[in-house]
Amino acid sequence: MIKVENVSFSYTKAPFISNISFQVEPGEIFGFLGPSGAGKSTLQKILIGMLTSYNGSVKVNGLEVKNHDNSFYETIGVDFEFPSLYEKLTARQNLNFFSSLYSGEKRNIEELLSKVGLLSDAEKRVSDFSKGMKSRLNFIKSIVHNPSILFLDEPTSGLDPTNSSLLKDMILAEKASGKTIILTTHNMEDAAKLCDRVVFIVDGSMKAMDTPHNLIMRKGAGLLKYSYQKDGIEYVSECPLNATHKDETLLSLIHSNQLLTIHSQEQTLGDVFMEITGRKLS
Amino acid sequence: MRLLRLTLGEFYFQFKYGILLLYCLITVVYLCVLGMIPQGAKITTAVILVFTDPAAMGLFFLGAVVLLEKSQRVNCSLAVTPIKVSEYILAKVIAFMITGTIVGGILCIFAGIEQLFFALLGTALSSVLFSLCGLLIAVKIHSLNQFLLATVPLEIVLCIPAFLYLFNVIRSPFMLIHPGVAAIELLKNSTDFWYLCIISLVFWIGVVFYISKKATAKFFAQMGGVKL
Ligand SMILES: Nc1ncnc2c1ncn2[C@@H]1O[C@H](COP(=O)(O)OP(=O)(O)OP(=O)(O)O)[C@@H](O)[C@H]1O
Ligand SMILES: [Mg+2]
Repeated sequence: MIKVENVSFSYTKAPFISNISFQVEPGEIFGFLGPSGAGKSTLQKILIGMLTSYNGSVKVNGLEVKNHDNSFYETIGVDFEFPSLYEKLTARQNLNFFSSLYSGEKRNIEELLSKVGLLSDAEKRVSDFSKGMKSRLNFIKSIVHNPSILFLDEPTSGLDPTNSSLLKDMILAEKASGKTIILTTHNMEDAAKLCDRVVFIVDGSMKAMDTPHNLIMRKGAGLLKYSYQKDGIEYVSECPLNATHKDETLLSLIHSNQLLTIHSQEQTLGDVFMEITGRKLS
Repeated sequence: MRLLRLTLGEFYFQFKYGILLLYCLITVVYLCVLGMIPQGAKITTAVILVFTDPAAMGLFFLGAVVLLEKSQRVNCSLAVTPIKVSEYILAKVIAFMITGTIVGGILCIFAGIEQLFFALLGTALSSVLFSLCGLLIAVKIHSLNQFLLATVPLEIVLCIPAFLYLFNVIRSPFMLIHPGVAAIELLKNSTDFWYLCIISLVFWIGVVFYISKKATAKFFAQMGGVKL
């Protein structure tokens, strides 16, 4: 569906995006993860044919995007990281207008509006919308023409927890209906929840690519932390989850019911990111 | 069909942004001015009014519309739809041409210009040319100040030779190479050179269209937005 080979690009003379290669299969949610300024949005712009001066090859639906014509956009949907709507028009007018620019089957606008909870604001001007309302409208705008490939650049940023989880469910529903999705985020929980595979991007290059599960597992098992008291002094100790049977102290504490606290500590995707790239996310 | 929808959209934006209202007000004011001008100077006045307004206003209005789109980053949204750059340009230019020509037509009829066809053709063609220039500047610049800085010299270059010609300061058929002069000549339709005027205007429109198309394609790919 999407095949990227050895892509490099820079806005300036200094090298920036370099050595990017990956492949996205149909029906997959593929995540771009990286700190601010890493080049995630830039990479997305390359994939959607907005930056054509890249080196290497980017094929979307079998077509080298550098050579795309306007019909290329019939089948892809793009949700930018910023609102890109007519502020003077109402939500419904925006959707109607953008929808009218495509041929082919359109989505039901009422249904989309109601899914993101904007039906009662449909006649409001976008300039009177809050940040989160604009984000949600921007998202449904990107799918009005029922595209088969979706590019979502931080679709949940600026949303409250309720709407954020609502949007995530919608993204999963899109996937369930067979869409291929490229999702850019710096939210590790979102990435772990939504993505089939993620790629870590730092300073324009790929640092790792795998399923969230494998990435987490790659760094070995999580830790078990426990505390206990001995001779009036409190001790804290830990052992890897996959070696608890070898920890004599722990075993004896369990047998004698002497544990004060016990926690397992799974690695998060964020920890793994930090370990691999030496950088914190956001 | 997409072009038709886009053009209708542009009329709607003209209405929403208050541009249509402004055109109506201008028409009323100009009609009053024309009504006060003595018969002998009516046609010349109408020519100046039509040339500087319904025709040339496209430069500012179309530029303003593009700047608004830029500030709202709608250009990014449009760039990822199937609309072609040429459709984007044509829709805007056609919408402003129609509005401008209607206003111009009303003024010409009121002033009693005889060969209305040439006058309207002159208005339409110069409106297209000015609009394209406005588009070209708007897609290139990054702020409202830059826009004003760039449009004023352009207005001067397009208008001054035309006025010098209109008032017989300089008069030579070679002047028709200048699009402003060609437009004035068509509006006045006092010439046997109407076909030269049309060729000149169409030539310049072609040139500016070509350049704006390149610039707009680049603009479509720009995500920066603009601060107003
Ligand atoms: N149009 C542009 N011209 C020049 N430089 C740009 C342009 N757009 C982005 N950059 C630069 O490219 C770098 C990467 O930007 P990009 O938007 O791709 O980062 P990002 O990973 O999406 O970050 P964020 O998480 O903050 O959205 C930044 O240093 C930015 O300044
Ligand atoms: Mg970004």
